[in-house]
Amino acid sequence: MNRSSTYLLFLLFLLFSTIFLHHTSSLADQPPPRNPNSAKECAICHYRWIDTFFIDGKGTDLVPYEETTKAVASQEMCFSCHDGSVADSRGKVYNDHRHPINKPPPPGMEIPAIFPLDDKGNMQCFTCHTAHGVSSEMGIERAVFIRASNDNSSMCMMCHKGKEGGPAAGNHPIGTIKRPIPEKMLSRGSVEGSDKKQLICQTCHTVHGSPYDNFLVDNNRDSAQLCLDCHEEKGGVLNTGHDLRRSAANSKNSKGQNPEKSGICGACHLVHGAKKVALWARELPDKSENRIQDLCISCHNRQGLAPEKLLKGYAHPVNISLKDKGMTPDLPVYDLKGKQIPFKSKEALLTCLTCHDPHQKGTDRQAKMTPPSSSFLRVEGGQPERLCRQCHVQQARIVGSDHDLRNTGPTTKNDRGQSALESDVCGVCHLVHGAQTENLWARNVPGKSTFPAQDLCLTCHKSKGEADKKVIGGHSHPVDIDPAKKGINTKLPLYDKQGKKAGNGVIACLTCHNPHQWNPQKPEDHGGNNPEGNAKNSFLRLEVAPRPVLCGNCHGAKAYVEKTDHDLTITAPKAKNMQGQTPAESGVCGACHIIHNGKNKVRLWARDYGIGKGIMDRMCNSCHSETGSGRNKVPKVSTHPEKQLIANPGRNSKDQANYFPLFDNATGAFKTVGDIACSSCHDVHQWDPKQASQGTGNNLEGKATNSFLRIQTYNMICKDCHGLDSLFRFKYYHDSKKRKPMPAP
Amino acid sequence: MLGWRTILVKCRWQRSSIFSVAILLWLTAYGSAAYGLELTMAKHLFDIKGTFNQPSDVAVAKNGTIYVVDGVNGRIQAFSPSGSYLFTIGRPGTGPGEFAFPLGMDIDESGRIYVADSRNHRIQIFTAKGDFISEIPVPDDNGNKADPTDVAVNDSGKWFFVADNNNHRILKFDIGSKKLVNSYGKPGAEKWEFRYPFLMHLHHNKDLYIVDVINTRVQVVNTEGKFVTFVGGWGVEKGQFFRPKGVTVDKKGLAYVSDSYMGVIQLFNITGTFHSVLGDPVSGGVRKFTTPVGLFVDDSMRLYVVEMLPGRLSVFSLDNAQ
Repeated sequence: MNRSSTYLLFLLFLLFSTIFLHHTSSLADQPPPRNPNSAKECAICHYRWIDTFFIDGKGTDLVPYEETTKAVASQEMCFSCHDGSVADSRGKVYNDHRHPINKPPPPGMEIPAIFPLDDKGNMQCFTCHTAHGVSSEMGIERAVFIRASNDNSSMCMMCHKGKEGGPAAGNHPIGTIKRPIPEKMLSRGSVEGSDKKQLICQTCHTVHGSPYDNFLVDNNRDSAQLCLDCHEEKGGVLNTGHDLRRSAANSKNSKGQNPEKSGICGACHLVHGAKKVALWARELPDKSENRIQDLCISCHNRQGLAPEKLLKGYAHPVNISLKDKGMTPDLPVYDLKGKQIPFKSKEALLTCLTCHDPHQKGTDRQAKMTPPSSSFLRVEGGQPERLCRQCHVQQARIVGSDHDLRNTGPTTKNDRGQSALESDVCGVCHLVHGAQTENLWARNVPGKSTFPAQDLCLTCHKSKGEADKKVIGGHSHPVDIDPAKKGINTKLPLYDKQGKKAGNGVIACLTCHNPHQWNPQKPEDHGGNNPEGNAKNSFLRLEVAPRPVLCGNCHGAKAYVEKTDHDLTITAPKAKNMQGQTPAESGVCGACHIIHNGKNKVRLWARDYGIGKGIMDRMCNSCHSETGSGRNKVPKVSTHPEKQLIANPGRNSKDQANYFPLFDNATGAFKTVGDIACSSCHDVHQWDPKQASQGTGNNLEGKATNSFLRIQTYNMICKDCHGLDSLFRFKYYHDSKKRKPMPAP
Repeated sequence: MLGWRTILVKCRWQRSSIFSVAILLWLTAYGSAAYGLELTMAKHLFDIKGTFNQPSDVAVAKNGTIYVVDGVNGRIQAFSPSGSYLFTIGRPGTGPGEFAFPLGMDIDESGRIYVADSRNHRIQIFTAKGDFISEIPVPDDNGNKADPTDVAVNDSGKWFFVADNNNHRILKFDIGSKKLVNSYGKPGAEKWEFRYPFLMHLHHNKDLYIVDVINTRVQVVNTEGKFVTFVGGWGVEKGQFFRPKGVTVDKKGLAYVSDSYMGVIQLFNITGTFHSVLGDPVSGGVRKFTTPVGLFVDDSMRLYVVEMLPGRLSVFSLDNAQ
């Protein structure tokens, strides 16, 4: 055959075979029945169930063959509808961060069997989602197409175990909380549980659509806005020293995150995987006396982040019960485990956080005070004194007084170089931390002090000191003496050699003075603008005028002088002592005795001595003279013959009824052999020897049974020496009309 | 005739070869589709990418300015014909000139831009330079919020159609009065019924091509309210759709339909019959895309394809395509 014939035959063969084979094929290989409509409704997602793949087992010109697998909700399949063409999830699901897909679950995470992974063990959309998903109590908008009910995040926790249990498990609390979920969080996609105040996983995490780390509904890096959405009151920490972005940018929390990555809150607290105390994000000692302190000390230690803020020296006590001390501050108290508990609880203790708010509460305060001078104290208006007064109510009465150095000593500085205006009224005298002495004194005390309690006062009240106009000098009431040794019992505070209060201590300035209160009777009286004090105020611990309560606390028997003829407020109200004070100003005691800076040493006599040989008589005669205030009571003859070697052993005990003191004429000191003085027979502080009480307030005419006589004076003493001649002699010495010339011996 | 030509794959056309004719006939009867798929080759010109977040649609002005709906970023971006950035229109928000996840857009002969501002439930109109002109709210459907996913405007800018995706209807608005003129369609699979109408194209001010996503078809209706034809159908074979998304019609009447899941663009004759698949002249096979959505063919036969997930606009030349 020629070439054309060959082509023709071949062509005929092809045509024949085409017709024949096509026909036989159609008969022998009938396609299975198809139901396009119902099949489409399934295959619209179950791509692999399209007839071409599922029945014919082949691909097409457009797409390759797709093997049938169980789950279909691949990312591509979901996006084929959720791209806006059916539902628009572009912003929420496919934008930025979301729950990972195309990745295996984290090592160790057990994935329940109802959540399928793909052939490579990776998570896909279908791991959580299925078009045949369960209905949910939370509504179709939230939970449709998921494989299990996610009521209150129950589905989340099927994989994410160990995220519950609250702080005891190192996790942020979930469940019903005290505060409502803020509206601003809800508007960002935050979800609350079935209870309006129920915190669930989705309250903080949103699986889809979050541009932030860990699928959080708000940014928690850097300024940690998510935390602050709820914990708004903690926002004061921003830009303070406790904002570690600023103060320790390279530090790392227990997860190895620096403050920028962890966020300002995450530098100290972890939401998951934290310590059990305060969700702490830093190392803590295994055993502790007080967990709250541990939190602070975890940075404030020599090797810590804040070595310059070490708790060195003496500091305000912690771990003490304020309730037991009768203090009722509006401040938080904690138990030893670090949990804030009610004030009335037995375990409630003062801790660091009682005074310090490490988050620096309040934006208003933040605006007023620039750290670190604020020291994170829990005070409003930037005045630490307002914090101190929460417990130290009485001490706060110092404000506005002469001891408020903001007014009277604005240039005075404490050991830290802070003026009263910088340290506030308390801080200029007391350092709550880092003090050199146990009494937290803020001023330099001489190193070899023998009496610290007194030195505190003398740091100012000294020559060239801040209070050099009130320097103790001349003749003053003794200090540093043990009243017990003088037979004195007192309720006034005494102090030991370390300056601490001690029942068996000695008298110090603070025994009589309360430096925090100007007027013992009127706490609201602050003295005005640097006033000159008197016996009613002057920071006296108890009143001296009009009643001698303070003096009487030690000198109880002397206080019987009140309202007697020797109470000059009654009998000589215009008389003035050497300091120019009237009895009303000086008080009944001060009219005759000057406590500080007196001119006279003996008995701190407040007046010019009168005539006489012995000092004791001269004191009496300073009033009982012709021009004195006691001029109506001047004995014509008042002297007992001298140098009679009168002895009083057996009668020289104050406690005894036969007390009959003799005095040294020069010093007024008690003697056992000497001359009789006025005070030998007279107790100038007690009108009636049988009535141990104050007077009546009436200027009485006396008689032999009172008249400030000692009890034995009319009863025994004279007779002891003079026998039956006693009455004659008494009258001889005291009544000129009865005096007659002495018979010649 | 067309400026490009249809070719046959795996087979060289030799007019004088009887042998080749025979082979062709045999393959037509028995060969797999791979041996009989018509491709329209498109020459890749350039891409614009790296600036979009899930873009969805594109429109090109007469002067060649390219506008891309950058929806997740809440803006429209404009580019020169060569792809250089020109300017941005809008920002995320609800005010005039602001957008909330816009999806579709169109452009009239004067260059005014119409944007379906989906989550703001409105159509916004801008000048060619991006100045805000007006907005037309799209009303609820019996209490259900409108979900305008695309707008198709007539050349003179007198009226436009809106695809109300969630409510399965097509709305016609008069631009001058800003009033809803007519509402067409309801949920279903019959004529004038839709399941999620999405992107559209108005051809010659007469035929409206509506991508009917879950019905896996393009429904063509005319401005007189009459049904014209269906284009495509359910499946993964040529001429079928799994997830049709975008549609455009060139000046000769060929319709281009993107399928975001299969990643292909298919061409259809004006009668609705399958024409070909967009091909890649380099590989000689089907040109594959990743989530292709909005399409546009300009008068110079440049094809613009928006790929949503990659955030890319690709420009092809259909002139002289092999």
